[in-house]
Amino acid sequence: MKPNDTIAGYLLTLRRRLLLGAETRDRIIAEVEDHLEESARALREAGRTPAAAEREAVARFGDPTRTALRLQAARINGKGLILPLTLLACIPSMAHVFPYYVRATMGSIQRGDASPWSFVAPVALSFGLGFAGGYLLPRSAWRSGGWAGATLVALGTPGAWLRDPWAYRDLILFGPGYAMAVGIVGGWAGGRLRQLVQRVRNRSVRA
Amino acid sequence: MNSEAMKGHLDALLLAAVERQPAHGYALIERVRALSDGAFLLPEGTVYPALHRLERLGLLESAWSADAPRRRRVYSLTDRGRAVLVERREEWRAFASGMSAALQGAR
Repeated sequence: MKPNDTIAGYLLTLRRRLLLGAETRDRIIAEVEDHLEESARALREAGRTPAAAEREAVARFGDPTRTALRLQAARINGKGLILPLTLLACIPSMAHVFPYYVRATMGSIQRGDASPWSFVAPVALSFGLGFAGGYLLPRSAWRSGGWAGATLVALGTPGAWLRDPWAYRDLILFGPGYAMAVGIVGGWAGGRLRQLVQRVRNRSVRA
Repeated sequence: MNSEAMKGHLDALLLAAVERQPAHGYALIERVRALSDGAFLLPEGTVYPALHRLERLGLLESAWSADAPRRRRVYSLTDRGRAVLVERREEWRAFASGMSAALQGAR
């Protein structure tokens, strides 16, 4: 029997795929467990063997990875996530813009002068979005190659730096790419670390 | 009815099923099946995401029930959910009436 053919195996896989807060994840697992046990009980009463009843119950529930993705989409308010990230990115932007305009008005710098802080806002936004994506997306999304492709594009920018390491324009153009790559990898590592901690905790609970 | 045809109607079906009596996910699936004379067998893996989404939107609320052998999450309809269900029923009546008229007229 494959691990995902049993209720315990299915729940373990689902738990690993769910990248949500511990409380929410525990609630979902408890709900699904209750459902699968109820479903298996009904199947046993209909004449299936215990093993066949479990297998059919989990098969009816569907692929655990897909279920986890659906549950995550249902629990996470995407619009709610974008707004704080955008505001976060606006803080350094505004902190830069006001002093810059004051100095430009007073004539100490000319309007249009390049500012070393011009890239802060897009960098912060890119990092935030990358981190959120890396943290929230499950392993299956990484396997699909979408984020891996984005990371490769972002990491491809060293070519421009080798051409002219101190090109300020390149920094503005590619800084956000670097920030997003670092954010994605950081978010992904953070998500995996959390899963690892959860797994160790589960083992200690079972022991 | 296949799951593709059920898309778009799942929320309304669940709201209608909960309206009769608060219940947990498994019971709701069984209720929809019974109410539809076995025509609507909801895909189980899509029901819980829908319930969680409806809860996040404030149309359902849920609480653990202790009166069963296992802890169960029981869903009930909120006032907002009740209002949305009334709207959905009106929309469905208009849609069904229009479709019926159009299909008969095409004969």
